[in-house]
Amino acid sequence: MKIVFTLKGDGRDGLVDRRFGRAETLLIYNSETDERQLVANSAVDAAMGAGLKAAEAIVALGAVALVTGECGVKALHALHRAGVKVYSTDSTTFDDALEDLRQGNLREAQPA
Amino acid sequence: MRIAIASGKGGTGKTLVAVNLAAIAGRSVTLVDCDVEEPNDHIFLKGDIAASETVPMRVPAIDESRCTGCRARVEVCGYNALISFGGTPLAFPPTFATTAAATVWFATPGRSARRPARSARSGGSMPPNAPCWRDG
Repeated sequence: MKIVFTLKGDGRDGLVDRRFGRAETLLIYNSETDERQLVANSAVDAAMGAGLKAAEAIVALGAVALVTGECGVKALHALHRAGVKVYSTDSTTFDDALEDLRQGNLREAQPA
Repeated sequence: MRIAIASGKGGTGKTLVAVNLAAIAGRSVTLVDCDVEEPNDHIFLKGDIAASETVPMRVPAIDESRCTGCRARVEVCGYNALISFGGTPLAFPPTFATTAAATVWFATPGRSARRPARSARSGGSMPPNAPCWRDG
């Protein structure tokens, strides 16, 4: 299963970006193979609607879940419609966020 | 004397400047808050609201029975108000200011392929006679 994490910069430092649409890098984690793939977030420069554009992108990537800091209401609604679970994390590193996800410590965000 | 305070970007201090100018301008001043989304000037000034009026706005909706899922309008919307996971797109009409520009393009797709100046930044071609929007 592919789980997307939002990372700062080019993602190589493994630091979580709390933003979804405006995060520069998306880390696609494959929970079966433990593979990690970094892709640039094409929505980052959108004048408006970055979250929606990013939501569309991660659904196209085949993501089943998203781990980020805060996901906006529109993107959250869109991802909910697409069946993608959204988890909020307070962790600053990908490693910590992944561990929290594995332990079931992350709160699943629900659209209002 | 008329002074206009304007900026295309939020959070730049328009309200701060406007209400302070009004406050120091003396007694015969008219402050007009033209913010169509969130007029806030009244929060910063003393006084009572003398009158208010509700102004409805049209919000576009997708006519699913006519949507072919072609993505043409998803690609062309500079505001990313439409997204598609395949099939009929999901519409997230932006707030008023941007809806105005975006819906000129979306609400009249069959009429012509002429693009309004600001609503369609990313190009894309408009299939003729494929109206997938109706006024909500």
